[in-house]
Amino acid sequence: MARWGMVIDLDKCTACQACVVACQVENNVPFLGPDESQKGRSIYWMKVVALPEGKFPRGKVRFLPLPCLHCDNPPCVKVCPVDATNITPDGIVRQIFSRCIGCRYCTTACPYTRRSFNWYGPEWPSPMAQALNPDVSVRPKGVVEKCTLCHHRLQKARANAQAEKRPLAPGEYTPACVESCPSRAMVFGDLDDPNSEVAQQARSPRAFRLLEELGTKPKVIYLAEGERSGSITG
Amino acid sequence: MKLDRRNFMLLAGGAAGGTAVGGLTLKGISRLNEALAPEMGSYPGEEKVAISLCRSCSGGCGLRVRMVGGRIVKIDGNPDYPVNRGGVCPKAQALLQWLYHPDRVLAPRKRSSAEQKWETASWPEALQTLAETLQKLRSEKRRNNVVVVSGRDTGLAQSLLARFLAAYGNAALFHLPSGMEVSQHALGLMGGSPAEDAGRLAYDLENSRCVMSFGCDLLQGWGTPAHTLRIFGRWHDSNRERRTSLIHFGPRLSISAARSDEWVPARVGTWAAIALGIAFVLISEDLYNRDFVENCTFGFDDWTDAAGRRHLGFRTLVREEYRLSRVEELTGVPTETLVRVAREFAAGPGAVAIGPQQSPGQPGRLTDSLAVHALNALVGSIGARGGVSLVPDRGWSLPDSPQKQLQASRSLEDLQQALEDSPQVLVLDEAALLFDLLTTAQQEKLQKIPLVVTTASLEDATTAWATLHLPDCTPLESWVDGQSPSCYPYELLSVAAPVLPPLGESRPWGETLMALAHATDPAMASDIPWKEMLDLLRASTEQLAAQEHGYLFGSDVDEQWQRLLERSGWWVPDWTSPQQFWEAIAERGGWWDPVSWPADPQRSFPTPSGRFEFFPQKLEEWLRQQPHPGVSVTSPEWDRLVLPHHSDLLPPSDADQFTLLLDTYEPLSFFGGGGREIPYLQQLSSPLGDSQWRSWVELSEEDALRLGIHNGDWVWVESAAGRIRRRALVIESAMPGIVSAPSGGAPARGRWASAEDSLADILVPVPDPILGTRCAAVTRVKVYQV
Repeated sequence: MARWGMVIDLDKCTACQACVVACQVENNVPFLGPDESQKGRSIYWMKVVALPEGKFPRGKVRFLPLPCLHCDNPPCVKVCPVDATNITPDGIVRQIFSRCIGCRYCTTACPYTRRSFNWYGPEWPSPMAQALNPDVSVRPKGVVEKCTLCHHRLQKARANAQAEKRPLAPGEYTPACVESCPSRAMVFGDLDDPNSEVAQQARSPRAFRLLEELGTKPKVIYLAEGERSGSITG
Repeated sequence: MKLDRRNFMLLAGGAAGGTAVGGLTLKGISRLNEALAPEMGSYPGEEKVAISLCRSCSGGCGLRVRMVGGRIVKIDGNPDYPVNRGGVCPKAQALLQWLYHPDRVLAPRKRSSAEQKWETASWPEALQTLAETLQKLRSEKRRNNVVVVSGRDTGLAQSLLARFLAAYGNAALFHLPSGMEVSQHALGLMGGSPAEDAGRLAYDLENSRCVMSFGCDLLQGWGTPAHTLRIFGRWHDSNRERRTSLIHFGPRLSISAARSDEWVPARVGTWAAIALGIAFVLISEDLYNRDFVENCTFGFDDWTDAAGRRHLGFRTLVREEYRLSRVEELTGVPTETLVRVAREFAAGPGAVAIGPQQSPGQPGRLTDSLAVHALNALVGSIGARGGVSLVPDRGWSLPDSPQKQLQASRSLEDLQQALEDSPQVLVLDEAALLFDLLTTAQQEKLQKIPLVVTTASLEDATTAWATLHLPDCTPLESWVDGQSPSCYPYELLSVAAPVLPPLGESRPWGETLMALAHATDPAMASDIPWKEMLDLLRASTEQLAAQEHGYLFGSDVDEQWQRLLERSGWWVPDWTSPQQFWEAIAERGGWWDPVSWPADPQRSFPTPSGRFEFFPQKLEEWLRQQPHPGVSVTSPEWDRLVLPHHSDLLPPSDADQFTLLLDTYEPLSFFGGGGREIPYLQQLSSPLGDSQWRSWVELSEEDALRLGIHNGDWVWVESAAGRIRRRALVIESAMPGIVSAPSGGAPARGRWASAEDSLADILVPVPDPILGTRCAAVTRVKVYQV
């Protein structure tokens, strides 16, 4: 059984946010108009977060593409009273939208703030619904949603492999964000396969995990920028 | 009451709250709800993959389109397209929201004035309206009666427009600025242009070792974004032998500055001084490329002209007038930094200096561009691997006599003048960017023009002023052609078939032009004989099939193989006949020549001296024809005017009243002018802040504290020209004294439109001291709370 994970090389990331839009399009993530969006209720399964450090002329800004980190020990799963979120044997923290009762315990429990609540029903003014991905269900008002690592793509790839009676090949399953990245800053695959690119990169001396001390064991691993990157010489 | 999910939750909530239903648990509710959830409908149809091209900016990246049951549901990059090789920027990712936008205009419409309501018209009726006006005006030989503004840089539709206007005979054609004009002009003056045309500025960034950016927003609105982003990833690939370093100079903490290896904050308008300071280090430490400078350049050492007059050489100028202490004083960049980055720049081949700025609203000053190119010459990077060059600008062309095309002007000043001259007809084609550059007062004057035509595919800034609408469709709905985009080093031609038929009655602009030509004057049929874009594309391909170099698009493995073959002197054509060439490029997406960048460094230059000129003689010749009061042609001052030099950008006036400097930039979401109407792009905002569907102004934390402004406050930004309201975005590590503002903002038209003050209203454009054209828009301002 694979253990799916992702490595994001912050040295290659350009903060272009192609991954943000790729994810929204792939997963039918609703958008908000000018008024509602001012309330901070817009939903991003993947968001590029800026982390300013220090003041001019000594400071720098880091950019962190932040999807759900698919923790091996996910705090959100533990608090769900209805098993609407759980972890699959291959390590994907799933969200079963139709089970969610909207209690939002999970949004509070997630230390990475990667869960969003649907304050509004999705609106796709005609003909925008034409672009909806038929592989992903549209969430109603009142449920929590989050990154599923494009789980539907795994199901599809697996079905194809099974139909052809062969194992799933590396690269056959890739989430939309990884596929879109123009600077190839993201690598995806089986962390348990020591020969996979993702496992090799995860062993890099530059590798780190977010808030590791919480014991959440995220499967999204970051590679730090080079020492010099983003330095200022004032 | 219908028992659906929502009603069920209400019922169950009430039941659980009361005691009517004993033993009902949250889990029970959840499972019942799951059972009631609608089954996902049957799969809506066959799945297909097609290729297309993006036209959101001039980059024209290759797209791979996923279709299910005749609908497009996802767009990614085409992995075989050499420019972007599978990756695309967020603009292309969001193309679906353009295609299926609820404010698409799907039929021609007209109205008597901009205040009236639109009335739907038929295509023959709408074309007749325009054709009749054009016929009437054709006999009146008044200048600027018909003004056409196009945001399309290149392509067959653009050539067709130029051909139509040339045949029509009495019109002015303007292209919107790309930002590369001044740098390109400067390199043309110093290094000459390729024989056939003015050439195209290109950088071989893929092979650069050290890139010095003079204020270019390299990772946002610059060049061809998806290409630059891809190359940036390669620079930082740990499997590569060596990491390419990026050093960014400039006052603004941009994303490019933050993601560079070193951001060197510098005062506004000091690009030339920085470049000449670095040149000082290269010359005094003997780090410059002696072979290139001694054998292939002119004007480096002092020289004597044919009349026996001594001239100042570049070396003397730099050594005497750009000592590091003075440069530090001018620019604010410490001497140690200048020395360190200069040494790094000269540490080996593949160093390139880019800029200054190269953004459509701020193309940079000519003399600053000359200084930047002088640096490239000092390290021998003109026409060399990893460097910069002017390459022939070959693209799709009309099948015969290209001379029958109206030359387009790229001068914003001339365009503004033409609009002032009260034209009778104004045609706006993909010209949303123009409305970022015009002030509200200038826009309002458009109302006086009797016939304003727009080709916008959806409600945007251009539809606000139009009285006749001939809606274009998106590139996904028509035949579309592409060629080497901005700054891209290789020759390339691409083509893609429509993925969908045009929605509603919308029609590709090229085909509208063909119909318009026939309606205006049947005699034009000899110049424009085609009825559809497909006919024209096929006719153009005939010529292209004759070329004896290059390959059809393939994977990057094919690319490596082709390079290997060429290195050994082999070229194996992928086609044998024009017919086969057409079929192959239509299937594979295009043709390119991956070895068209100079393999050997350029040693001779098409200039008067046959060398690269630090003292551009063509510029001198041109300057002699212009009035330059106070500078005698025989004085050393004259040489200083011609050579790259520093001069103050802004006059000191109003410096006491307006103590901050406003710098503008183009965020990636709005690069090229469009995108304001697209919800996913509006939600991107800046990663530095969170300001969706509206624009903002960026302040350093130090200035914000001093002015008592908090993040998210409404502030007035006031200049000598006026004041606008914006939300403040406070950035901790930004440089004090600098305020920056993005172009774009809230949509001007459509269902999500909101009124927002225009940034152009407070900008005081700075004219280039030599060219007289707009070179920068840095403006003295003050900021205070609303």
